Order: sequence, then structure tokens, then C-alpha cells
Amino acid sequence: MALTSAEVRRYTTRAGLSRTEGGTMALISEVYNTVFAALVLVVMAGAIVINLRASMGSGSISLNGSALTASHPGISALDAGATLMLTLAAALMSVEASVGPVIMTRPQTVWWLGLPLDRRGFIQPGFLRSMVWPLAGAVLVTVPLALGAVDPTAFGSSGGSVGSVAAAVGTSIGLALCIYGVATLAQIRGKSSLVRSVAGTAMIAAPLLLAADALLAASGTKIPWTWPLYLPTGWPLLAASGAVWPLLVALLGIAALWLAFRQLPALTTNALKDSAATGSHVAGSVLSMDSTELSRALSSADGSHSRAGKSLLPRRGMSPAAALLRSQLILILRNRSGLARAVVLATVPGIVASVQALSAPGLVAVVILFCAYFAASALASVAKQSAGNPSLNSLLPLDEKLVHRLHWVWPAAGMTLWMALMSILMVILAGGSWLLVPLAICAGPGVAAAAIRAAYRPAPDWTMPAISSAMGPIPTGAIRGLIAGPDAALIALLPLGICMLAGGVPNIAFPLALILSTLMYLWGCRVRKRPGA
Amino acid sequence: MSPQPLRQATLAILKLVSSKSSTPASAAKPAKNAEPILAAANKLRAGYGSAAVCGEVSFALRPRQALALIGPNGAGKSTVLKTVVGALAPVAGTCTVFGAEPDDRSLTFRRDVAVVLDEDAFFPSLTVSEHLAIIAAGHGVEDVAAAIENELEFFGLAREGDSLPHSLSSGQRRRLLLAAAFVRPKKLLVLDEPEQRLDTTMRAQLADRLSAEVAGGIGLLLVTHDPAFLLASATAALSISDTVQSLKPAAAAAAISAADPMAG
Repeated sequence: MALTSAEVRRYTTRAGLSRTEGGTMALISEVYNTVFAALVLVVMAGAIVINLRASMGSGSISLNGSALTASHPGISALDAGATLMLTLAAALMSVEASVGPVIMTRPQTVWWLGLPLDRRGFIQPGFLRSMVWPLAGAVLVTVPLALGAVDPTAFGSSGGSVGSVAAAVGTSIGLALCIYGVATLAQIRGKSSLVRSVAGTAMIAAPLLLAADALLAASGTKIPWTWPLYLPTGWPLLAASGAVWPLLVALLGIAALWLAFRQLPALTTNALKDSAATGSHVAGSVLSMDSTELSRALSSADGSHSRAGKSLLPRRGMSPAAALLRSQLILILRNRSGLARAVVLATVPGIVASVQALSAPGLVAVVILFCAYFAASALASVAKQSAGNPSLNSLLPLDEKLVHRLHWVWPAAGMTLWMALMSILMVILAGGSWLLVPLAICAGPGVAAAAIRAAYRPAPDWTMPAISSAMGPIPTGAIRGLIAGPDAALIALLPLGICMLAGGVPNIAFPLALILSTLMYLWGCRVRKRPGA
Repeated sequence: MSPQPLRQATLAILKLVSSKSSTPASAAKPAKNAEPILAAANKLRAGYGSAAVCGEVSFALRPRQALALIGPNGAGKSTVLKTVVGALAPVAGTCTVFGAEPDDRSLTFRRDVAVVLDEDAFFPSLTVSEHLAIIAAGHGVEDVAAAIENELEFFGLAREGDSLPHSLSSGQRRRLLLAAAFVRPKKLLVLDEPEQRLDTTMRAQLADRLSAEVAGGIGLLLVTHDPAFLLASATAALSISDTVQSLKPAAAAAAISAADPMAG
């Protein structure tokens, strides 16, 4: 009697678990170091805010004031919520279609799928496990939206009650199941690329359209923006407002899931190998908090064939530094999805600040930190590629430190423009002090340096036995590397964040921002000592 | 865990696995006059999307035959190989394995066809022996431990049985992949440049082993750049480029040597 798929799975897991190293304590130790470092920065920043507010004579040390002032109605919470749901659903569909959604690891596809055993036994666990993420995401996104973002009286009298929140969560879960089922069917039928392309377009277009609508509203021309609410992605918000019929989407979700489940054995080994490669790329980029690498992992199947910037190719007689700068510019221009993502990210803080329910300065400051860091990562993607393949740089007669600094030039220029665009949009959409704009511009080069620091951080070593965790194996040292990059971005953005929290922009903030940006440049562009050197 | 207890633990697991297995999948030997076609290509154009990378390929491979695909780098040999085993869709023409379109979702295909492409993917926490145990036990090999021991011995991995993949050299990992193809029963063996990353002695031993396996009744389809390896293991050859030419092994070996005097 031959083994069953389940027995092979169990054997592989048990034999592997018998020799994982480190275990939970090593994981806790790594998390502790990271969280401790973050807490120290937050406490320091909090102390500075309180002192600054006191010294500016705010009258009290309460944090109610802000450099942002809601001078006009801005975007309604319902409009923003519906657009957010559309964007998130498109993002979920795009991610699901990119990583699978049915995921196995590469060794599993190589060592399991060739066995003459029931394929469902190997594929089904990945199908069920991957379903957890969209379901958890649906609950996490819908509960706060249903509780805080929707006007309970907008569509019915029962909005805001426990029942309507439960209905919203149920609708959202149904929607997530639909997305998961459709993505699985697309994977089975080899149509993932088409689904990814449609979802990717919706994901970029929705926030840009909302920002355009908000700009028109700020200039006094209000165009009704309610259509995203009536798309299936907006139905959870209608359910939160008291409507019951959106729950029907749960039936559709279950039907899509059942259809996909029945066809699981039809998944080809090639499709599973592709998703395994993408999945491991995604896991690596998530653990290294590298949005550009993550984006590359998620879009790798599409391939980029841009020929932009061909006229900028280095010519004879050019210095090595100039040749490197030109090559970098060409690569940045060819990274169209990265540039589009950076533009979309520039609109997000303004949109968040203009939604009254979300306009708390602390929240907006955190959103700026994330958006700025991810935009800088997109612009510094060339540095990341260079770090992964240092032999390319060694072809040119340039000092390693100079190469790092040259990699900072274009991201610094880009982030200066990005911070200007982001802060101008924020002030127009949410109102507030125009002094925030030059202050944000001063921080731009520092955030770019943070992305360079992240690009050259040591990569996690996936070849060594990993630390066992509930989420799966985590490479030793990966979590320590997480803060390399975000730490420098946080420091560069401290003056901007503190001024937003403190409620004013003192003159001292400008030189402080410039000094911090310079320090981050020196820190981020330094050459790390190699292990054993 | 020190090496000795680790070895004992591995053997215990292997015993547990082998106690479940019974008769191995039979490799029926067809009558000599009615040898079935194991793999065939008919005016096959291999490539990516709608772009073919080489000329039309046609062949029929039967038991006790070994067909070598030769040609310069980038000629499309591996692309043809991947198309024949169903890893790529044909641009034009057809190919079959056991009379059907190649599809590893079919139980027959997975039971009877062993394929070794250059896929360097291993479970980081499983030893060399445990990797082989998955394959042997999954294919219903009766004495898993003995089969593993034989292959470890043949491929020079006897001392690496309890090693994890990250501690193996590139050549040892290649030998582990090859061992996985030999530790299980099969009717058709498909190898992409099996000589790569192997030393001269190992190449010669592997070529002899392949020759013996072919004589024993399997069909062999391989890509190779090594004239000596080809001469020792193949019964026929196809030169792959813009035009595809059928050659005797001696002529194929001579063609490789003429194109690259350092080959092998």
C-alpha cells in the first residue's frame, strides 16, 4: 500500500520541525529589539511635542490643536470609505491573482507534486490556508469602517447597531470569498494575468479620481461621488447603514468558492510553481519591509518591457559617475508601476486629512511616514537592484561610497518633488499652514536616504535553518533588519510630524529638518562593514 | 542533535515509512515486437508564446532507446525537452507521452515519468535521506531504506545522508536531484544536462548506469553537451538548431567535439 498525500505532508512537517532552530524565544527576542527601538523613538518624539507646545504658549499641553485645520467640508466619510473599499478589493484581487491564490512552497512543488498520489491532498491545504488572509482582511477593514466611517442615518434607521455591523462584516466576508474564488478559478484556467491587469488599473484609478474630486470640491465645484458605494465593493457600507440585501453577496462567495474547490486538482504544476516563486519572493519582501521588491514580486509575471529613456543612454566621453546617473535615471523611468504608485501615494495623506473622521494629526503623520517611505522605496528601486548585484557597479571605476551616494541623487530629487506635491495637496484638501510645504520639502532628501539605507541592508539568509513560527519559517536575523530604513525615515520626518502634532511651525523646525536630512544622508549612504571584514 | 542520534531518528522515520509500502509499481516489459512508443514529437515547434526557438522536431522513443538532444547554447534543446514533458505548451505540432498529451496531472504520467530539470529547490530542514524517502515511499518502493542507501552510495552521498541541503555543494545538490530520479520506479527518464556540475568519474559512472537502465527496459530522453557521455548512454541523437537533424551517436559526439574541442 502506497502512502497517502496527507502522510507525506505529515512526514515532511514532522521531520522538518524536529530540527528547526531558535524557536519561539529567538523570535520573541527579535521582536523585542525592534519594538523597543520603536518605543524609544515614539517616547522621545512625544516628549519633544509636549515641550514644544508648552514653549509655544499653547496655554496647555493638550494635543487638540494642529497645523492642519479643517477649513472646508472636504470628502465625506462615506465617499472615502467606498473608494477605500474599492481600492482595497482591487488590491486584494491583484495580490491574490499574483501570488496564487493557491500557494505551495517551491520545494513542495518539486518534491510532492511529482508523486503518483492524490494531488488534492497536496494542493488543498494551501487553498484553505491562503483563504485566511482575505477573510481576516475583510474583518479588520470593515469593523472600523462600519463603526466610525458611515453615517448611521444615511440609508436606514438601524445603521450603527450591532446587527448592522455584523451584516457589514458578513457582506465583507462574502465579498472576500467571491474575490478569492474568482482568483482561484482564474489561476486554474490560466487567466490570472488578465485579472491582475484589470484589478491593478482599478487600484490606481480609484484614489486618483477621489483626489481629483476633492480638489474640485476645494475649488468650489462639487461633483457627486457616490457611485463607488453601489459597486459590490461598497455593499458592506450599505449593510453597515442598515440594509440587509447586500448579504446576498455571501451566497455568491460560497458558490464561487465551491466551484473553485471542486476544480483544485486541475491546477497545473506550472501554475503552482509560478505562484510558489512569487510567494517566496513576496514573503522575502514583506519580511524585509521592501515595498518595491514586494511590488516587483507581485508584478513579475507581467514583465516590464518599457523602452523609455533610450535617448539618455550614456555616451562616449562621459565620466563614470555621469554614466551611472544616466543609467539609473533610465531604469527609474522604466519602472512605470513604481512611479504610478509613488504618485498615488502622494495623494493619500491629503485624502486622509480631508476625511473628518480620520483627520487626527497623529494619524495623518503616521500615514505620511508610511506613504513617504514606500514612495522613496519605489524611487530607490535601482539602488536595491544594485545592492543585489554589486558586480554591476564594480564594472565602473567608482568608489563604493560614491556609488551609494550617486544612488541617492535621483531618489532625493524625486522625494523633494514628492514631498512638495504631497504637502500642497494636503494643505489644499484639508486646509492648514502653508509653512508645512517647505518643511516637508526639507525632509524629502532624508527620506530618500532612508530608502538607500534599506536598499543596502543585509538580505535575510533563507538557506539557513529558519526560526519556527506560527506564520511559518522566518529566517534568522530578518526581523532585526526590518528597522533599517524605516528608522531613518522616521527621524527625517520628525520635525514635520512634531509640528503637525504641536499645532504650529516654528522657525527652528526648518534648520532642524535640514540637519536631520543631512545626517540621514550620511547615515543612509555609508558603506556597511561586511561580516568577517 | 549529534550525528549518531540524528541518523537513528532518520532511520526510524524511514522504517516507519517503508512499513507502509508494498509492491513497487510494475515496470512491465512489453514484447520486443510490440514495443509501445513512450514519447513522441510530430513536427513539434518549441518556444515561448507564439515564437518558436528552433526547427521542427519529430521523433518516437521506445523502451530500450535513449535519445540525446544536442546543439549549441540557446539552440532550444531544453525548451524542446520541457515541451515534451508538458512544462511548456507547443508553439506548433504535437507531442505525446504514453500516447497522450503530456500532463503531469495524470497519475500515469507521474508514476511512469521521472524528470530532472535544473530545479534547485529543497526543504531546508529535511536531510538528504529524508528527501529521497519522500520520493521512494511516495512511489511505493518496497524497501525504502535499502533503496536510499544504494542511491546515496552510487552518487557518492553516503556521508551526506544526514546533511541538510544548505551544507551541500552545488555538485552534491545536483547528485541529490539525480538520485531522486533513480530511487523510484519509472518507464521514461528525462534529464536536462545530467553531466553538469559532476566530476569526470561521476559522469562516467552515471553514463554507464543510464546505459544499464536503458538496456533494462526504460526509455531515456536527455540533453547533453558531453560527447563521451553521449556515446556511453545514447542510442540516437537529434541535433537541434534552426534545422533539426537526426544523427547516430558517434556522429553526434563528433559534432559536439568539432563545435567545441574542450567539450566533455
